[in-house]
Amino acid sequence: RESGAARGRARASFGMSNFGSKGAMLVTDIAQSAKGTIPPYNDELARAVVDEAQEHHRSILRLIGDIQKTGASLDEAKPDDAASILVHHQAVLRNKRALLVYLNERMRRVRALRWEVGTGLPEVVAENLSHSERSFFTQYAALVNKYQGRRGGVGLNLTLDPAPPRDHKVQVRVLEEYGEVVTRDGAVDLRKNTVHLLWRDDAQPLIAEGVLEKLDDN
Amino acid sequence: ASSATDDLTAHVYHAELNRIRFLMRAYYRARLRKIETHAVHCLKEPDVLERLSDLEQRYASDYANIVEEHFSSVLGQMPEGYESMVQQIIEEDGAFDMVPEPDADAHVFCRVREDRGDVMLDPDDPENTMDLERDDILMIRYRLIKKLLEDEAVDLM
Repeated sequence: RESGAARGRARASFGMSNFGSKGAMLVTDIAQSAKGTIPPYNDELARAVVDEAQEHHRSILRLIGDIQKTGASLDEAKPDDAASILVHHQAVLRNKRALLVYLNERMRRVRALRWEVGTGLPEVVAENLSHSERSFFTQYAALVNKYQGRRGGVGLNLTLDPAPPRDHKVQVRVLEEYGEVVTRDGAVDLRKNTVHLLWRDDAQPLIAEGVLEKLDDN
Repeated sequence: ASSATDDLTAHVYHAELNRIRFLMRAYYRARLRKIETHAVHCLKEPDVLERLSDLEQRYASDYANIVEEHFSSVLGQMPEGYESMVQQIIEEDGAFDMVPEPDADAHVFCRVREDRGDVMLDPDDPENTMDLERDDILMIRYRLIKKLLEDEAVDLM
């Protein structure tokens, strides 16, 4: 980690010798990660890409200033100067695109969490998210809840039935001690390692949470 | 004997109820996913927006807002003029050039539902007509069958 930071500083001190390389690194960071995972938010690299964009912008302003000092208008600028400004401008845009690819792909995976895991973000995942991503998750989870809700929503839990139902009752084994639950058929005591025949709607949220394990009909 | 029949009937009704619930959940989920992928586009194009329910329109709007808030945590640090989520650089009368749209030129598979005879599908190539007969299966750019799909003359597969 430390050597990476030192290398990063060394790169910065060389200036912008490789336009777009930091942006490419940022995109690679998320592109090379396994699909269902969210790697730690690379704050250092993201900041470096933003800082590089700011440097390009300073170059643009300096070039514009130099032109205006000669008394010429921008339209009268020499082709060389116009080309320089354009290259720096395109470099900013490229860095912006890289940042958005990075943020957008991570955001997509954060959204998926709401549908797979529910409203509670596991600590092991949360520590990899930036502050803004955690905030986005909370707001997104609330947005989905509102849409699903009975008041002001469609009144249907959309996280259930990710696949078409095959049997309306399922056999489950209890993986974690859960205590008593009330079902349509009455109270059921979910003690660890017991097997029960439950209605799908009752069992499914608990299966998703990992409390119950669905047993195949064999 | 009658209670066994009642049990069977109840089972059948339950199975049917669960199937209907699954279909509705899948339908709502698919629509929300599409809205999320193209939220700003939906809000920007009136003929797309009117196809959304009132709840979906509010969802699209709220969703676009939380995305903008999240992106601005980074974009807000960008140089002046480059902070927008919908424009590459903020220009007077500038178009929103950063709003993704569905790709109408992607190829799709579709099945023809009714005989239509010789049909001109591509206005850029009017001589090239296709003879569409019921149960024909085509692989074709979505843009060319969009109208037929809306008229329910073809189904996507």
